Order: sequence, then structure tokens, then C-alpha cells
Amino acid sequence: MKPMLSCEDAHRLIARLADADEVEQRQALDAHLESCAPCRAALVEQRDVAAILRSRPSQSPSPEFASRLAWRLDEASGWLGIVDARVWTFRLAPIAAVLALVAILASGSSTTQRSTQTLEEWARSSLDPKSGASMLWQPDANAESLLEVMATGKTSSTGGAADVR
Amino acid sequence: MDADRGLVEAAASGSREAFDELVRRYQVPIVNLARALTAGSADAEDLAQEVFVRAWRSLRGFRGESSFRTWLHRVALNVIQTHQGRLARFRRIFQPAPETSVADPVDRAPGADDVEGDVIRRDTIDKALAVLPAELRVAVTLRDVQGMEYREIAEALGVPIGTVESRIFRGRQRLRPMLEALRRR
Repeated sequence: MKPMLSCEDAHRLIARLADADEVEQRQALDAHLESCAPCRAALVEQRDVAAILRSRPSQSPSPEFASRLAWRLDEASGWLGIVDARVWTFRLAPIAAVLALVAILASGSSTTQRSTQTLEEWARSSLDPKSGASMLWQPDANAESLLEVMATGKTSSTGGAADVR
Repeated sequence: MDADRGLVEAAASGSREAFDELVRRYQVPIVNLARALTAGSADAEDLAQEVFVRAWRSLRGFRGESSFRTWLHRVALNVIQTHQGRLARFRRIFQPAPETSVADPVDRAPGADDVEGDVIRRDTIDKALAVLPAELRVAVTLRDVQGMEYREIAEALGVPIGTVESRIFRGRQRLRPMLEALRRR
């Protein structure tokens, strides 16, 4: 004797039966329905809902639908279609990202270098060579001479003793 | 045998005339699918157009392993799901989720001679479908609104037939109270 169907197994078969489809295990399903009132009610319910959904009135597209679609298909068929921005955006995105990164790194490094050079050049050309501040740009400046300048406001003897005030 | 086979082969070789004929055959079901799955959204026709444009672009990749109708529905489901995902993200960020409610079934249920009966019936069904979880909504819509076979639905969704049967059973079960008014008329 074949085992009885469980309600859970019966449910998916009931969905098919409600559609008047061919159902596997039909005899087992019939036996189950005979002895199970909730599943019999479920079959009626499935038929009702399916009938309502099938009665959903179909709606035709608007009159502009065909002409607008034809225009879009023309566009997709021609050069604009070949240059499909959406497709190419995705395909080229990694390359674009790498190029952008390289550009940022290159620009960042040259900007830093240029700004350092510019500041040094400005200091050399603008500051009085006898001033204390100019000591900062002297190649032979050391910690002691810088300390002396800060304390006295005068350059050390190596640069010639000059009053910076 | 796929009734569209000749047209599909011609369209895949670049014939716009053949593809236009396929559009004429399927524009009504695809527009209705988009409407049913988006609760009658105003975007439905744009989505249907996107489906055909995408189908035209990728038709050469169609290998005929399923019918053209099944393949086209798979394209449509991808387009609609992508749109809905984008819409959901937008709503999460910029505005609260809209309240999806089924129209008052007693007051708005159509009579047999109701001039607006079709509109109300369609609207009531679409809004009831919108309340279902996506996987149930899609399975029930493909079966009962689009009239697809269980095997076709399983192919379109890439799931076993048993899963389709179960989703349709549960979907109809949940729809029953929401469609009560339409059942009485």
C-alpha cells in the first residue's frame, strides 16, 4: 500500500489540480482530499483565486508605445547603439579607475615637489641674506647657529655679524 | 516547436522587420506583466520598452534552449527586478516607503456593467499582487495573469517545478482575502 500524502505534499499538487493540469500521484491526491477537509477547501480557494486572476482585463499599450519603441530600437541599431553607454561604462570602469588613480598620484607628487621648490626659491630671493630667517636656507647652517640667531637676533660669525633689526 | 523560431532566427541575423513582428506579438503581454508586477506603475511602458531594446541587443546570444517567450519573460523579469531594486534603494534614502493598500473591496468592487469596471478590477488585482513577497508575486503572475505553463515558469525563474507549484499555492492562498470582493461579483 502506498503511503498517504502529507498536507504539505498535497498543496503543490492542489495548485496544479486547480488549473486542471495533469497531476502526478493523482490517486494518492484524490485519497488525501477525500479524507482531508482543509485541503478540499484549499482546492476550492485555489480555483477561485486563479479564476479571478485570469479575469484581469488586459490593457493595450498607449498609442505612442510603438513609435517610441521604434525610435529606441533605431537608436540601438545604429552607431548610438554600438556606443551603448551603459555597456561601455561598465566595461571601461576599471580602466578609468586605474587611469584616474595614476593621474592623481602623478599630479600629487609633482605638486608637492613644485610647492617645495617654489617656497625655497621664494625664500632665497625675497629674504634679506643678512636676516636671521635667511639662515634657514644656508647650506652650512647648523643647530647652534640657528639657536644663536633665535636668541640674539643676529647672525653668527660665519655669515658675518650683522644686526638684523 | 517554438512558433517564433523563424522570426527569431531572422531577427538574430539583424532583420528589424522580423523583430518588429515579435514586438507586435508580445507587446501586450510584456506591458501587462510590467504593470502587474509594479502595481500599475506609470513606469510600466518604459520598462516594457527597455525589455524589447535589451532583447534586440542580446538576441544573438539566445541559443534556443527555451522558447522565445520564456526567454523574453526572463529578460523582462531582470529589467523589472533591477528597476524595483533601484526604486527601493531610492525610497530608503529619500522618502519613506509608500503604503501599499488594497482598495476598499466593498466600495470599489465593479459591477458587471460598470464602465470603469475593467480599470477597477485590474487595479484591485495589481494592488493585491503588490502586497505579496516578490517570489510569490512573480510565480502567480506568470501563471495566472500571463498564462504560462509550470515548466516555462520554472525555466524562466531557474528553479525546480516543485518550487513553482509551492509558490503558486502560497501566493493564491495569501491573495484570497484581498480578492474577496471580486469573487462575489
